[in-house]
Amino acid sequence: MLASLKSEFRKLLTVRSTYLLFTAAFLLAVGLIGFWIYGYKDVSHASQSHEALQSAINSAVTFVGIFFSFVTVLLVGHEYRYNTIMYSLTSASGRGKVFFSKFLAAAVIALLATVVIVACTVGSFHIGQNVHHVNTISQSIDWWPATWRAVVSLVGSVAYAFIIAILIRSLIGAVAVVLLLPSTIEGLLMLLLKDNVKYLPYTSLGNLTSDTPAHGASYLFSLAVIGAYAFGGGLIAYILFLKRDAN
Amino acid sequence: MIRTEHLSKKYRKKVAVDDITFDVETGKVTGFLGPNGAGKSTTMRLMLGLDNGGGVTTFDDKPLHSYSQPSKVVGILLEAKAFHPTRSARNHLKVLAAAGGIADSRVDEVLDIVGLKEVAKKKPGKFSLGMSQRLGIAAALLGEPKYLMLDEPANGLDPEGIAWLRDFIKQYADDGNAVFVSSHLLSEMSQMADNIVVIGKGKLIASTSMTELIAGSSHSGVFVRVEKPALLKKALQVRGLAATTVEGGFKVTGAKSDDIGRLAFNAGIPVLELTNQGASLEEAFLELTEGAQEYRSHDVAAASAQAVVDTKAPVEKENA
Repeated sequence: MLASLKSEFRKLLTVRSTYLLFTAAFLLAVGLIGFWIYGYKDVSHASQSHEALQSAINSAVTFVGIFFSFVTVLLVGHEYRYNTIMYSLTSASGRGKVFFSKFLAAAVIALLATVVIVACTVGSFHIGQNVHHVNTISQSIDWWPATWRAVVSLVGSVAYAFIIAILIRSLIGAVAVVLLLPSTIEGLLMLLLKDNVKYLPYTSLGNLTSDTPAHGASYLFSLAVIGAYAFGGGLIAYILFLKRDAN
Repeated sequence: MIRTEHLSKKYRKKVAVDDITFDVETGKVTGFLGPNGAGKSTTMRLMLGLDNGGGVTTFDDKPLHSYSQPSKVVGILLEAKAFHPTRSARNHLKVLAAAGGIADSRVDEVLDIVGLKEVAKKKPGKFSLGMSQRLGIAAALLGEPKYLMLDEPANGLDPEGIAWLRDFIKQYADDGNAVFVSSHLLSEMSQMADNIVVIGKGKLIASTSMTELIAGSSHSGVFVRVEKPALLKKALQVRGLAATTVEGGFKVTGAKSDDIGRLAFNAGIPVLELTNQGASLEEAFLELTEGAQEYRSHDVAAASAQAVVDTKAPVEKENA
């Protein structure tokens, strides 16, 4: 398992797409959200709300989740596109090890990137205010709830992307689904389902990183929905990964 | 020894591999032949557990995935371009080394073996087919495995590369390993393979030694030139041996040159020439796989002649 995990980390760290997507997430979260929107531009909001920094962090986590969903899709999709999956499957003593190693590597990289980006977002938030010479009111962050919601949101994003990529196995198809499912498809379903939209996977993810959960859901309810989708989808993906031909 | 038993694979109604059983012996090169679409690649994938199907393949009596480090048991090259195009050659091999629990120092060794040390930092997306094959061979060699399974490894290699590969494979087997290699280059195969497995339309046609395969071909025989050919032919016929007239003499199949020599001597026929004529691997292969081709090309000469006839016919009709 450790050998497979080491290999998956190397795969992630030796392609430029990981760095490009990290850079994009970093610039958007740290530069745009932390420095510009919450730190420099939206001065009135920051100076009047105790939770401006929390909102900035939530937004940063959402961005990292989106970008590292694509990192995950690329990790899996490239294996099928370039047929390197045959090496992965013949090097390990079981397909299950490859499956869990891929997921773990993607999740750990996403969490590490989040730590870096959130820390820098907090810094850029304060820098933005200092540049604008604003005296903000004290910011309150409940670190424990904020942390678990960020971690679940991140791992959930990676898990969804991973499941989609394993099920579809086409790089372009998986990217399209990860792109369209949260925005277009769940957006349209919202018109039909109204408050029942809280049962949808990406809406539940969004609830975890919003200041207050929408559609009558609680954070714990959203956690349960995400867990159900991740477990159910993960189980199907796992079985198919074991049973299907390599590609 | 690699032992495959009753391998089978179906794609909906089409049977791709049909109950194939053969062995790949240690210390030998086993060539794997078959027409296009015969199921060679599918068989190799089944052997490695990449495809799901019927049958069992064992490597020294154990399934591949029961080994803790399968990369050290079998090295594979199934597709030349199986790499991320922007991950450098060295990093590609480092990824595979990590997966197989192999030390990173081995990466530079195999790059040196296949002659890619100079381009180790280059992105393989721009590699030629020959360079890609070399990278694939390097990947197969990473774990210093006892078994090598190579699917068309000579594709795209230049003559020097092909010669190197041939010598390398032979040496690898001589060192006590086993090499299972498929190739369409029959002349190359005839120079390096000790055993041959032939399949056609998913079925096993032959699994034998190269010598037996060629000896069993109807193209093999003994060329005989004697002073009294009619007399010898008659003597051969009495023994139930077939003799066909060829330029300058005749060819006898199903008998050794020693036996024919003795027969002629006993019959008092002066022998002018007695030569063993082995069939080429190509002749033996084409004979074995006749009717087992999934995709058959047209005879160009016959097709051209037919085309000429077809184009002439309306003109002749008009003239008439």
